[in-house]
Amino acid sequence: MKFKGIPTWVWYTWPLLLMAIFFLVTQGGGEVASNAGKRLYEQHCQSCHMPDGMGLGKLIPPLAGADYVLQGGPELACVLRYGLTDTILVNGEFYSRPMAGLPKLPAVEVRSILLYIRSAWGNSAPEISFDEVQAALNDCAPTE
Amino acid sequence: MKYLSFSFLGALLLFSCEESVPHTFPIIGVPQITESGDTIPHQIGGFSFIDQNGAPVTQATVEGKIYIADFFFTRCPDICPMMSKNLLKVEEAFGTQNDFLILSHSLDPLFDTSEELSRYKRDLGARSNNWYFLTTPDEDYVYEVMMDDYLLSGSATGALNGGIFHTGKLVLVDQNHHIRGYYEGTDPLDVDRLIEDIPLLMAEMKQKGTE
Repeated sequence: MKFKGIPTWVWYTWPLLLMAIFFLVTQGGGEVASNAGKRLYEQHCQSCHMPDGMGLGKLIPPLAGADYVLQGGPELACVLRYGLTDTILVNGEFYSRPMAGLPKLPAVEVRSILLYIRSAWGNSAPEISFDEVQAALNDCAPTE
Repeated sequence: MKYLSFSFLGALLLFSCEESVPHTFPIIGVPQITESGDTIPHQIGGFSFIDQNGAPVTQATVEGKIYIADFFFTRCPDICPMMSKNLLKVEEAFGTQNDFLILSHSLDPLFDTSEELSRYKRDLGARSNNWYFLTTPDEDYVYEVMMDDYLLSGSATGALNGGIFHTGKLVLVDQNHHIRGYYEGTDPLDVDRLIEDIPLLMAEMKQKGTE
């Protein structure tokens, strides 16, 4: 049986093409990072910063729409890894309760969380590369 | 056809009857049986805490009121923020009613002094005078009250979960110091159920009061 108009190579390779399209749609690079980031956020951050990223009153700062997150750079990686003990200013409010760090989280996962919180809930901040995250973490590593 | 419409009417009546039956709440806990054979239901015993303003809070504070009890601590890294967020909804619904209270007991009372709890209440954004944040100079006391009176589990474990293992349950207590329900404080839907149940329990108590 011949299908006129469809090149023979397509006829023989269409299952492969279909698989390639399926793979691209479901496993696209950005998608993987953001899924991982969401999962890690739910695991490590959500109980305080809330599923909607809005934090809690003046106890826990918001991440959604937060200048601290949007205007911050790779050094935010240090906040995730080592936590915070200083008072910080977020959208004009001071927050002084300490935040626990995630010292055991590898740099690649720190980056996944950063990408997630900078792109979720309508946030739109520039991507941060793995090298930038790694460099920032090296800079803020405690000296022995 | 005539019988069919009658049975429809019957079903309708049955349903409308069922709706008019008031929601009844169980009295939770193991009752005591006296020597004369009377059953005494489990009750929250007398207690003594200090609130966020340094004032004493005892059973006299809750006399004649329905209240919610929960157990948390300000440095809690996991379930407490969600519990507090959900309790804000309860405060919003009933915070101005004078026959209703919330008692939030700290499980880290040596750190959570009155001053610390006062800051927590302010920064949380809780404004109602009916929401008390409680501490005690005796660390073991709050665990005894939680386990023996409110029938919840928990302990100061050390390393995990900020050093304190506890439940996120909210306990609904009636005017007679009986436990009438448990609600999952971390689950917004279960807290909505609590917000629906509070007026029903208030109605039940009023009805009993007039009998």
